Amino acid sequence: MTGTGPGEFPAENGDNAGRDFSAGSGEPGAYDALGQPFDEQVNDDRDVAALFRPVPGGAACFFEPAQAGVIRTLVSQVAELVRSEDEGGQVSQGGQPDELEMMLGLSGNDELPEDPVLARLLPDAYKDDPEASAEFRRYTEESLRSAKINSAQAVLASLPADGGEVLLTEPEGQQWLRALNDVRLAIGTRLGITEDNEDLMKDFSLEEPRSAYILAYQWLSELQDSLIDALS
Amino acid sequence: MSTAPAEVQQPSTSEHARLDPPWITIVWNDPINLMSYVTYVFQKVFGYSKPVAEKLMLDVHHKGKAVVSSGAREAMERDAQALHGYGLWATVSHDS
Repeated sequence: MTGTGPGEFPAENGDNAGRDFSAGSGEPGAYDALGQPFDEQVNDDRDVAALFRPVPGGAACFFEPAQAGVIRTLVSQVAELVRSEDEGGQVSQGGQPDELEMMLGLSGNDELPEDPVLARLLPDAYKDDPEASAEFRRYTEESLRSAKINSAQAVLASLPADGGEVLLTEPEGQQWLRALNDVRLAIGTRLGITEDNEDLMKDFSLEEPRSAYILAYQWLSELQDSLIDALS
Repeated sequence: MSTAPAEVQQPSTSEHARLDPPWITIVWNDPINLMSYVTYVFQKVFGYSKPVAEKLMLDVHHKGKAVVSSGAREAMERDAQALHGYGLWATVSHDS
């Protein structure tokens, strides 16, 4: 686990590791919600960190248009990743959709995803028991994916694309916490953050391709922390 | 050679031994989840007080993992599922 202080990022691996959340070689930028390059949105914004504050019944935060764009883009990317890998679901072993499985919301999928980000978002429930993990996954993965997509949609629904004041009730705030956390898990996994090299990341160059994601990760950590404070 | 009397190792069949359901939910440390968030999730999922949740969080942080609940297997799977919903890394295992 980590606090929210600066300097939590590894200094290795600059090869666009954090750029694309899609598994494999998806079309670059296919999920960009906005028409402008993602890096510019983040870099323009690096001096202003929007944070939540407590208000009666929930939390509030003012987002500049660029900040709203960053969150909407990242949240959409993660939702799309969780959704896109779902295509093989609800197909029984014979390759045909099984009506009963669909009715019950079961997934034909019972394997840990190959993509490290998806594997982190949809982890095994048994450490050394592949059979039990597979069984658990068959019964729960569909609803876990749906829950993550719902959280992302809750954020998109409450955060105007051109920014502005966002007012969240506690249940809405919880959806935001989950969605922000999924984004941080995705970025953190792609960047290869580990407990050991948290301190190696104190200095990084804005020239690095991944710097946009590092800055976003840093800000989202503080934003998430401020939302927890506001809701506590 | 005479056979030594078999030392039957009686498993402790005291009545308490099997009363506790032998399944547990474990949360593992990871470098991404915020300490404040893990504490918050323990409060929400288990209804633990903040001090209890904080102590568990610190166990996870310092020892690498912590047992966060115990009970019937189905209940532990529900806990793991809820924790996965929050993005924590949780597993179920047999407490043997």
